[in-house]
Amino acid sequence: MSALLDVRDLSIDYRTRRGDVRAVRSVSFAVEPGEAVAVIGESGSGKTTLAVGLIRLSPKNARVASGQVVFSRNGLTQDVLEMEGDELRRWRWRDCAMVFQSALNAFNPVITIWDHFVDTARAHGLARHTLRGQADELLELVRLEPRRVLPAYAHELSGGMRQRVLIALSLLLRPALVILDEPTTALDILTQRSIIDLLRDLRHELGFAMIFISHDLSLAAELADEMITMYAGRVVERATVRDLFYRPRHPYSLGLLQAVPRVTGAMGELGAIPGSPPDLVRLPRGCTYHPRCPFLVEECTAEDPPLLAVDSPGHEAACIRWRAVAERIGDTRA
Amino acid sequence: MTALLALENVSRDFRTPGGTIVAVRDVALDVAPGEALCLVGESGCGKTTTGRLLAGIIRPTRGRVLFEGHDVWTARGSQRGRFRRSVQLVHQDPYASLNPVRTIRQTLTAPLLHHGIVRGGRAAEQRAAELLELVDLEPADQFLPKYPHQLSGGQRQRVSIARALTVGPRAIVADEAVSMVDVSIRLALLDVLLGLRERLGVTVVLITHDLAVARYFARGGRIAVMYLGRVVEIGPTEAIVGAAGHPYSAALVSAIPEADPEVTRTKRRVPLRGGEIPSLLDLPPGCVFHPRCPLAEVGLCDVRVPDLLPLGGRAVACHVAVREGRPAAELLQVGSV
Amino acid sequence: MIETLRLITRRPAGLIGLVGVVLFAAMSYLGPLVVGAPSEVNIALQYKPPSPDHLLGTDYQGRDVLAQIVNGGRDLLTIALLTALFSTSLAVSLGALSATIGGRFDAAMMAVTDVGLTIPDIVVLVVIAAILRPTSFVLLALILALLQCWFLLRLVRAQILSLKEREYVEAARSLDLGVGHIVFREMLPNMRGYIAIHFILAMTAAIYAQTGIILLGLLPLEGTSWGLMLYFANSQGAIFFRDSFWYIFSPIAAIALFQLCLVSLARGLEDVFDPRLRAA
Repeated sequence: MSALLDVRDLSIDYRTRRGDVRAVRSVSFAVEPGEAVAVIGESGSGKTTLAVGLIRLSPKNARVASGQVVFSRNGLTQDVLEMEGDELRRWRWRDCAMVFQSALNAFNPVITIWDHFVDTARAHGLARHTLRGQADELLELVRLEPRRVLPAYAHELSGGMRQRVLIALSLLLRPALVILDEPTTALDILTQRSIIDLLRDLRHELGFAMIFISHDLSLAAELADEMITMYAGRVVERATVRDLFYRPRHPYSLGLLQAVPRVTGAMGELGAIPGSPPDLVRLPRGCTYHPRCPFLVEECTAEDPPLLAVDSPGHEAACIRWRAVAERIGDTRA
Repeated sequence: MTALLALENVSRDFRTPGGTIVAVRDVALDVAPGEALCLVGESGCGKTTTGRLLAGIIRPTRGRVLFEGHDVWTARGSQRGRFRRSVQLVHQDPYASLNPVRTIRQTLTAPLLHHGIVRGGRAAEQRAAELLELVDLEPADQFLPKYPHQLSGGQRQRVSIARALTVGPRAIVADEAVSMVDVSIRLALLDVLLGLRERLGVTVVLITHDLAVARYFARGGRIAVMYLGRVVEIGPTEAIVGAAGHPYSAALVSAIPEADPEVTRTKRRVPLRGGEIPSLLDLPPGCVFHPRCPLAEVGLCDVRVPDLLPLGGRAVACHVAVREGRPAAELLQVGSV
Repeated sequence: MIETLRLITRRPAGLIGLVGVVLFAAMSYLGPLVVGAPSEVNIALQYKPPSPDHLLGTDYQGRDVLAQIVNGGRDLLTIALLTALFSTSLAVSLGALSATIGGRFDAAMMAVTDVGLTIPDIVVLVVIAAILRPTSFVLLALILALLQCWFLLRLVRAQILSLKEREYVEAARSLDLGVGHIVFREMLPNMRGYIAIHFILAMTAAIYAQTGIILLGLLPLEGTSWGLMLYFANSQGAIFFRDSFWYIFSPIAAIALFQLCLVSLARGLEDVFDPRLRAA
């Protein structure tokens, strides 16, 4: 069975005042039907550029430099980057939908939530007369009261409610793939919990695949099957969720894990990653992480390592010192 | 030992077109010198308002704010100025907390010169460099001539902290100071704040909605959990995180997603009743948490407001927990122990 | 300073504007030292076309037009500069005061501003000039400033009200830096762009206003100025003479070109005051 979404060697450039910046560099990963993939990275990692690039909503000064985004459903295979006009519009929302962060500016402030449903439906050719029923059903699916929410304006709803509305809107056409951008950022703990549980239940009920983009490792820990960590526009590690959390092989993944404190359980070894996020206009020579890496050796400044297979199936890390990382964790199977 | 800062039955109202919001209600809080205290809660709980009351930026509607035992708001002119300078606030947003048209040098030397802490430009620049070193921004002369937009978010926050230190405060209130900063450098910033305790004896109060950050920051110290304007629990960090006394704290500890798949997918959650958090304009009677509380008892929790009473080393505002003499985490069978 | 010049001249508009303004200023203030005062009256030379002796021809009294152009900018520019100075100072200080004091003072100030904004400038100017017949530069500049300052006043006030809520201003208050520092060192520098551009536009408005009332014959008719040249061209019937074209055209061109240079310079200033656009 071919992957639902196969991103192959995708690179996206931005034109800025200071020159051309490659925000996404040769990114490749695949999402199987029904699978949840987490893309974890911080500022400057390229994760948001990647997300909007996948659904072709990049701003005007962004340009796909190379690569393909191959989507397969019901035996039909297409390159999303080649689609235009009506074909793209049909693909968007029917096959792949996006859930943005629940900030107020994801909504039109002067129309009601019902109007948002109407607009979305109209844009994608849904019949109006069945819309009310569908909207009710979807809102109940995300555990909101349709009677209360549909006539409201975005600013009248709380952050958590807005996020649920965005999720409901994305499911209007029952897409096979949903991309979520920072779905729990800026939400309170209890609200985060309810959104996470909701996403888990919805996936179970409706069976869609998810890609979610976040800087929050715990979100991946909750929901993901597969994970990739991004740094300076590249994928630096790709693994199953258990492998990445318990057996990371890239120093950045390890650094991230050690930089996130826990609430329950032992504190463990904690520490921030020294240095600052990289300047995408002036990247360091060789491995882009090397200025901050505790496993640095001379070869690291020579060239940016490709993704190398490490010691478990389907697990890759872009680091020539991955064995040293394994040793450090105390994983003797390396 | 007198508390450095104290809130005595402090309340603060805000008038809005929809009615009067009681953002902070009857809060009594003591901050000991040199302590690391964390105010934790979700949005609308009043923690930011409490922080601003502590820093003397806003006045209480009722109650008193005491600094070293003296009422801050009845003090005269220069006394009041001295109090205000003694407690500095570090803001959340690194992009808004520094003046974009002033260099770091200008931002740091202005208070030094204005208050005569140093004499002359050269001495001011030297002191500014020392402060930058205190917050681990080195080499200082690389940072002084820069404008805020040339620094990263984490660097800007450090400059904010350095600015707060210019007037030699006794306490710093950091309002969500790490929330808008990259995950990988949060700990470094928290360590800077904790370092100020050790090196300068400055008391630090951190306000955050992130329990994990709170636990890291206040280990060995105290956490105060706030809900809808009240402090519902206050006590040693490990006690609250290990076995929360108040059902709301227990819910928070159990609900928070953790960066560990095994732990987080198998953690027992506290089932909360009801849906959304009540509006501050229309608070429930009795204990404000009762509509969502799994331990709520009709006739008790919806009638009387619970006081903060001692329970196993903490102070907890819950009728049921205090009566049973057991923390809510135990009663609900959740918790990490 | 070098940095500022570099930023202004980065745009073609800024470069043209800067060069043009400098040239006009040099011509108006230094030129008369070179060219001398307009020559003596000589009716025989009336309305002569351009010739090597008189590059722009002569006027109705046989005087050299070019000399008049060179001499004609000085008064106009001086009054314009004074007006811009008064207007900007008034607007900034009253606007800042109004925003920081607030309360009834602010309400009163806003009422006055509303009146000031709705008054038709030209009408009032004409009336005042007719009654007062101002000869002093300073007086004229003050009158013009009082008619114009309201827009910037409102802008300054609005900006300060907004900046008052900024976190860095709150921090400055917490650090007890004093109202003076907060207004002049924290807030106003954020508005330098607006203020500088208003300054230049105040100059253009002042030049138009002056030219207007001169053309209407409301100012005492001494000295030389481009506006006066137009007044005389009009009143002496220059349009009926075939060779008087340059006499009519050159003051119009001088005024229009100078205004254009001022506005271009204002365009070039847009980038200067935002530190983000300076060298990273």
